[in-house]
Amino acid sequence: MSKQLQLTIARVDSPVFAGSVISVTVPGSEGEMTILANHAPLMTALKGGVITVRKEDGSSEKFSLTSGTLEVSQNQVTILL
Amino acid sequence: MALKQIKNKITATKKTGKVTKAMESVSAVKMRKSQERAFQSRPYVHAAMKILTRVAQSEALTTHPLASKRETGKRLLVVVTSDKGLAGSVNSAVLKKVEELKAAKVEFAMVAIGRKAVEFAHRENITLLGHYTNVGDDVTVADAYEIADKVITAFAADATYAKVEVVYQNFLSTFEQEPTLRQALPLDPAEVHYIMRGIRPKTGKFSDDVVLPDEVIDHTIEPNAKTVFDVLIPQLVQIIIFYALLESKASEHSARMVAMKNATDKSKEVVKSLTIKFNKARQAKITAEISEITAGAEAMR
Repeated sequence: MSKQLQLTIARVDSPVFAGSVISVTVPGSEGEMTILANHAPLMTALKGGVITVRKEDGSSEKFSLTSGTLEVSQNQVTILL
Repeated sequence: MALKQIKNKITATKKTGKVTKAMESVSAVKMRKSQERAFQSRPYVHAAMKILTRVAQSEALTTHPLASKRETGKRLLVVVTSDKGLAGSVNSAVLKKVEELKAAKVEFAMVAIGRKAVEFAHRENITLLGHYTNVGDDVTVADAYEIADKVITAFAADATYAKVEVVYQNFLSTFEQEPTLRQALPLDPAEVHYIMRGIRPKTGKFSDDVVLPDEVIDHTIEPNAKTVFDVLIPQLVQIIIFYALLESKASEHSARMVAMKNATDKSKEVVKSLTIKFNKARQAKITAEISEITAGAEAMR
């Protein structure tokens, strides 16, 4: 079994997504990037675009955003929209 | 009082009682909704707190223009009240807090949210930086963003303001609200933590505590700390204001509910005493008539 990430995507007025995922692709302020398990602790600003979440069963989910902040540490990914 | 008048008064009081009863039920529903909304945004604040705690020690945060302390300057108060009255002491308690500052000769300007705050500022001749009325019951994030933008712009523009504070009615429980003053800018991680805890009512449905964020980890910050905090800090200020709006809505509705309950009870009491009065007056009238008739009959003999 491949390692998983715990992902939380939250908006001020409602939670958007919470669960374990294989990878998450985000539009970083310096360009698009994909975060996999065991990523080094990272904090970055996000610009407008689409977040793509890949789940273990192969399905994927997309969320759009205008701006946000991403934080990764110990296989926990937090995205604030 | 004449019989007819008492009768009219009883009907009028009963009608008032019905109105207050209806308002009570409406407020009860609205209060529940406000609380639920406040609860929904908790994962967000929790996540934001986690990030903030992990980077709190970083030098970039303490030196960021929106997070570093300023020694001199005026204060900017964001005062949150309701648009409508009939809600007990919710608004007056908040405004009293502002009055206290004014009496203590603290120099400040105001951003007024809610009609009561706007009227207060005009009455007291306080400089208004902005005013917002008709903030709906379903407080939208857009409302909070607009206000937060205004506040951040005013704070960042120059060194006029030493700090930005939010005054609002904190919701403790249905029967208990407390006027609260919180610092929004410069950003203080301790304050954000307090606000996250503050949304939790003392008892009831949403009273469980949240998990505390864990230890500080060294992060790679990309592209640089300033860019990240430029995005993150305004987000946190938005949360603080959004929460203040939610709390104040919840307080307003619960206070109105209690006030209306008292009014309904009182109207029942008044109807009861008026009915007794009515019966007494009617009995007196009948007695008087009977004695007139008997007296008349006596005289005919």
